[in-house]
Amino acid sequence: MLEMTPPEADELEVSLFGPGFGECVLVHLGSDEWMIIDSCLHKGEKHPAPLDYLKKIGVQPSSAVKLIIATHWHDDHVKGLGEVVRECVSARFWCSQALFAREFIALTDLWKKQASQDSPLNEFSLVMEALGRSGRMQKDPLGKVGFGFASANKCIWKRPINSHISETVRREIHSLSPREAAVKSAFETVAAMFPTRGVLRQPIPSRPNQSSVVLWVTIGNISILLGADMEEENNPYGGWKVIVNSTERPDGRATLIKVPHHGSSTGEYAPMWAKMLTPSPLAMLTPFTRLKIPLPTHDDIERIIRRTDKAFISATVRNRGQQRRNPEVRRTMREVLKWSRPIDEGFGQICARKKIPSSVDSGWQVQLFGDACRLDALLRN
Amino acid sequence: MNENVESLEDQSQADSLELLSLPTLLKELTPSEQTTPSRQWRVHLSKRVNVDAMPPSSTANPPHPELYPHLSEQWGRVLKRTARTAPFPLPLGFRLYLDRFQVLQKFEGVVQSVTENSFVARLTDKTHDEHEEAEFHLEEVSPGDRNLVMPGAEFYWVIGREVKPYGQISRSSILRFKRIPAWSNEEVEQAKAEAETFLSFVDLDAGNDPS
Repeated sequence: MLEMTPPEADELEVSLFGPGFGECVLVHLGSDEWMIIDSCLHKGEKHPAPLDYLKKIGVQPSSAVKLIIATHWHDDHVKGLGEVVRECVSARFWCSQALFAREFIALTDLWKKQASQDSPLNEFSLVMEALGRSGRMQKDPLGKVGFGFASANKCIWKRPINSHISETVRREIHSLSPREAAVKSAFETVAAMFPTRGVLRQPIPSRPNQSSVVLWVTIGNISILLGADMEEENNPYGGWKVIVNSTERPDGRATLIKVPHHGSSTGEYAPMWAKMLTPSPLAMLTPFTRLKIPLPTHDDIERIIRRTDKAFISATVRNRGQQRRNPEVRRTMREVLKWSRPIDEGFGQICARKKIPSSVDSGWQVQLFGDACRLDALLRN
Repeated sequence: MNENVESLEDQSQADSLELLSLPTLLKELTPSEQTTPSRQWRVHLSKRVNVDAMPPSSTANPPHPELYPHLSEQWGRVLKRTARTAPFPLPLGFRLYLDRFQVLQKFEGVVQSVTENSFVARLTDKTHDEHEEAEFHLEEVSPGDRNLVMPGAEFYWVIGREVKPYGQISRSSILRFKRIPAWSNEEVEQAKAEAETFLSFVDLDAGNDPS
């Protein structure tokens, strides 16, 4: 078993956590300053994976985490986010402004009263409560608030020259999305979700991912691209095409990418690989098993490993043997169902580190924990 | 799997069969089964609950689970307790389901995707806390529930053994989607007002400040 140790002050770390359903990215920005992007839980665990990991390596989340980003409000990205916000009291919370729509907040209020419902909206009300209780909704003496709205080509975090690292090191984080039009569209979607009198309460279906927050992190001469669940649907207001063609995005090519949308074909946009990434970058992704054909598919895996020989996935999608059940139950299941598939959701962490500043040629040091593995290993199974 | 192991397992499961939850049972009753029971039943029941706090019809019939989910839960608990102690027969519909439906397996499900004649769902095996995915024929869903089949919708799936009054045994699969009553106009307006109040304390312009 590999030992988990904290990164050095002058070491950049990108950790991707992911079970079969869920995703979270944790970034060490240098000098014991961290960023948490989304949240997920270990199977059977109550606490968010990033907080567990930070505590294991001796880092205090309450003081060390400076940013929390909610890329979008889908179930597989928000589990435990309320606890993350509650515990990381020094962090500024960033999300799309669409989440502060009056209708969205009213919806969370309505769902909160339906306490038995396991809805991502309940998690959002926990986030709002944590922000309110810690005073991050109000301006501090410096006139700053503890939340912010990420949008296209906006610098959301910047550190001046830092003596712990190097006088020449620039540390910046930019959000590359969503664009104003995508936020407006998300506002309309949220408004349409709002119940009208007399209509039965329905669970909320998943929405498109165009208003996801994509991030570009620059630490010295190292850049990384964190693709959230952004997809390309040839929409003029949002998507990869708009991001890649933007003249306002930061320059440079990233040496590491969190592959968007679990490696799906809808998250794929060839010019993104060609224009925003170095050849054969380090690619990391999480699976999404809650589909008839889980992501990434066989074709997705082949496509990604054609682009890079350094691709890793946080967990495999493994099939177990059938659950031992009463024969009557099994007969009924065979009659009622077209098919069924037991799922054993593994859980893993991909941890990549690199010294700051680094020579262009030095690669990332990758460690795999739990069920994480090389992506091409899935083709051999 | 070894057949001997299965039959042993079957026996142990049969020994620990449990009753279907009452709210679920109540949904199963047809209107004819929800017939008005005797005055004796009402008197017996009135000793155990605050009848004044319940809808007028509920001492005779179960409160409709879709209209009164909380009362239905309460009523279900009372019914279960009363069924053990009542010195007279319960109405046929309740007796049949209370005494004769044996649950073999319970699942909770969440719909993942829907096609023209089927849907894929993620199932949680409530007995073993295991997850699996499965595709159901849409025809397994009762017509009244079909408009509820959409991504994110939650449902129960119970597989059991039904013992008919004359002793016939049949396997039974019950699929029920969660149907929750509408928010009242007051609730919706209150939520909107609370959201307005909340946002009035939030400096949204400050949220647009860069780093």
